[in-house]
Amino acid sequence: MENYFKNLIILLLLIFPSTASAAVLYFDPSEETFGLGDEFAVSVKLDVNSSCINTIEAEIEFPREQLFLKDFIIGESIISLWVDNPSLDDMPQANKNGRIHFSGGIPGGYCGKIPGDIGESNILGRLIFKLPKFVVGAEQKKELNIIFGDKTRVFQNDGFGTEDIIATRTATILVQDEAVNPELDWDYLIDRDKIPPEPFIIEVHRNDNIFAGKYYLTFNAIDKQSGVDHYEVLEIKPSEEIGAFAQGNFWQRLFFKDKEAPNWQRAQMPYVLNNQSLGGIIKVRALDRAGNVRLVEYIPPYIDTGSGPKFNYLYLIAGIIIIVILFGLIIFTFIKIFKKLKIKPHDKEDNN
Amino acid sequence: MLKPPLIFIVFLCLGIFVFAGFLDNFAQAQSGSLLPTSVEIIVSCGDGLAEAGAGEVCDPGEPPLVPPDVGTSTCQDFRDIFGDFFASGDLGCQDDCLAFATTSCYTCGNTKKENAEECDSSDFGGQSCISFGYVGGSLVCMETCRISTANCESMDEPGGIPGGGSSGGSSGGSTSFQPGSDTENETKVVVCGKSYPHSDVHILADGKVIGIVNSDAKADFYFETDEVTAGVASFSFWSEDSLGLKSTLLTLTFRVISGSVTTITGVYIAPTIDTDRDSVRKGEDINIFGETVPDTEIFVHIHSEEEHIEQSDADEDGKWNIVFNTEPLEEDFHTAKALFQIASGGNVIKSGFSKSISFHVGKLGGEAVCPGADLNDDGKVNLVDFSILLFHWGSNNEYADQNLDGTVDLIDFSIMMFYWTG
Repeated sequence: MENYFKNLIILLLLIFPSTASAAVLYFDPSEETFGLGDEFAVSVKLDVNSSCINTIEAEIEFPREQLFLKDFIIGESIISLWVDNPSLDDMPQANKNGRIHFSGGIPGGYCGKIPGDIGESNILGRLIFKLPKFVVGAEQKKELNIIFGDKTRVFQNDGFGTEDIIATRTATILVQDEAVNPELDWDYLIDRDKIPPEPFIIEVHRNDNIFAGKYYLTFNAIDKQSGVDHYEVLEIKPSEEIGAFAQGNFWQRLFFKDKEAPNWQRAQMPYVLNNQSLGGIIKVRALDRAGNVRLVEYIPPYIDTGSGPKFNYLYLIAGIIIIVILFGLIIFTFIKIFKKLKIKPHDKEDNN
Repeated sequence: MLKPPLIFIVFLCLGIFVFAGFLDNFAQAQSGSLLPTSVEIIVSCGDGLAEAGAGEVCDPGEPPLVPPDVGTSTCQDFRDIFGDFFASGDLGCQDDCLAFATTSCYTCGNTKKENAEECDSSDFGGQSCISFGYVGGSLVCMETCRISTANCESMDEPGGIPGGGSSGGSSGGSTSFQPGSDTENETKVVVCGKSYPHSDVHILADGKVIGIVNSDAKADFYFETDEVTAGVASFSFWSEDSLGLKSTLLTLTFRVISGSVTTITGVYIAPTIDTDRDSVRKGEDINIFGETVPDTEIFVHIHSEEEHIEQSDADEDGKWNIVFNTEPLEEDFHTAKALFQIASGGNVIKSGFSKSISFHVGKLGGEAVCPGADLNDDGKVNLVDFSILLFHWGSNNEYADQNLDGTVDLIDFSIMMFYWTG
């Protein structure tokens, strides 16, 4: 017994100084009761202590048989640059693993709440869960824990990438049979979101060190309501239509009949351009979770329309040269024929 | 029968082939010249003119610069969910120009909260006092269909952080649109702070540069913008002194309230710092200098096994200088960083720390690792560098691997976040 208390004191002494100055990652609510069939939101939050934090990586684990993760909303997140931002398409995999992962950062770091700020400004994202009405192949548990996984870490804004000490807290969901029907404020948030992502800039860059010196795009949009879900890129020439095969010139029709029709491609930054001659208009659209779209276009200074409406003087010169040679050959042939016809009567006379 | 030479046939075919290509290309060039590259259907829909010939019913324009064109139609021509005609609001046009949009139409008092209303009777659209930052209480819907937070219970003031403070403009956090009014209240952010005398201060919102302002002789700067969206925002600031030294990026994260003026005061940019040498022999002096707010105290923290704190004063031009003797330092790499301190109204105000600069004490020739995160060497750390970092993610690329640990990972990303300039 004495040893037990001794060990406990040592353990507390070891833990206490660490957590006292640590950044804290936690869930809000930390404990709540919901009923079968209920949908509810759990915010992932960060509190900092003495150090500012500029990078966060979080791995969140939940009981996959008992809880269904519907979405991860980043509209109110303090993270402005995402390295790994789970989209709606990533939810099936997250539910399969019972785990979701995200990472990103804040330029200049997050140093905590500013006095006078009346809103919540420490949210990293919101997890939207659903408690299934029936659990297949497992016993319905009355207490479900949502925890931070081992890969969870934060970095100080010190210019050296120093990993900060973190304390993580678990969320406990108490399950009851009757539905509670909590306020579906995230549904409301998405329904009400009629505002597209904020205007953003697309830039075309080329660097010998990446993509073998090919042209690529950079872009980053912000959406303060439901959050940016994904980006799509379209490279299109003036003579082309979306989804339709462009009528190329004589040569392209002859050799490149299977050319792919231009269409919107789901994209991530950085995006390597398919058309490295910059011969078309580049369009990037950012779509938020509510489906609102912000479209940005980049029109290169000189559009090499390539596939069609451009007068190519090389063809003209080549054609003229070949026609001149051709006429020369015709004249040469006719002279030869004429000479033969002129010689033939004399031959006959000689024979006689 | 006379046979033409083989070469003649070959050239004839080739000539026809090339000439056909030329003619086809020429024909397309003629038709292509009629295709202006800048004109698209997206452009015509959104120009503020409903072009019936192009199938447009209306045109949303691009408010506020290009007002929408809805003809003579009004909200009163359309019905709400109860089948009654709307009483108020501005009729809009859908983005595809093919139909009217009634999302801004409303009838205050029909018990259903429409988009343009904050509330209607007991319908608050799922909002509660907690949504407005209060800890409890109940919302009240006024006759104008605006939310009153008078019955909400306010929260305790949280503790502060060094580097700045903000004050919300309108209390209660009510949203901007006033039913019955044609205009929205302005959402604005005002920033007041200190950098270095006569320096450019770069202001970023969520990592993107939104403005550059110049500070005066006292190092004060002022910035305001109404080009902000309500919600959580990170405003960042950095400056460059007269020597060309850059500050660290100071970031303040807070919630911009729609329809309110949010004023941030006390944005104190940390001092700049540099040394006259990268490497000194043990016992030699090293000169540490920089710029800051004029007439303030400077504290330089020199890290070794034991931390040394040196103090100096900035002159009236904001310049400061410390000559430090390296005798107490062991032979190794060391770092130094500075902050300024000023007494104001009985309070002591401190800036955040400057960048950490490295120097070597010992045998000459030591070179400190000094990551800068400017991966394309364009003098800026921004989205382009981030894209290069992502490209090299997981590799051991020496350009992107800032801490030279053999892997481009989150540590390098964190270093980039520190050096970000936008």
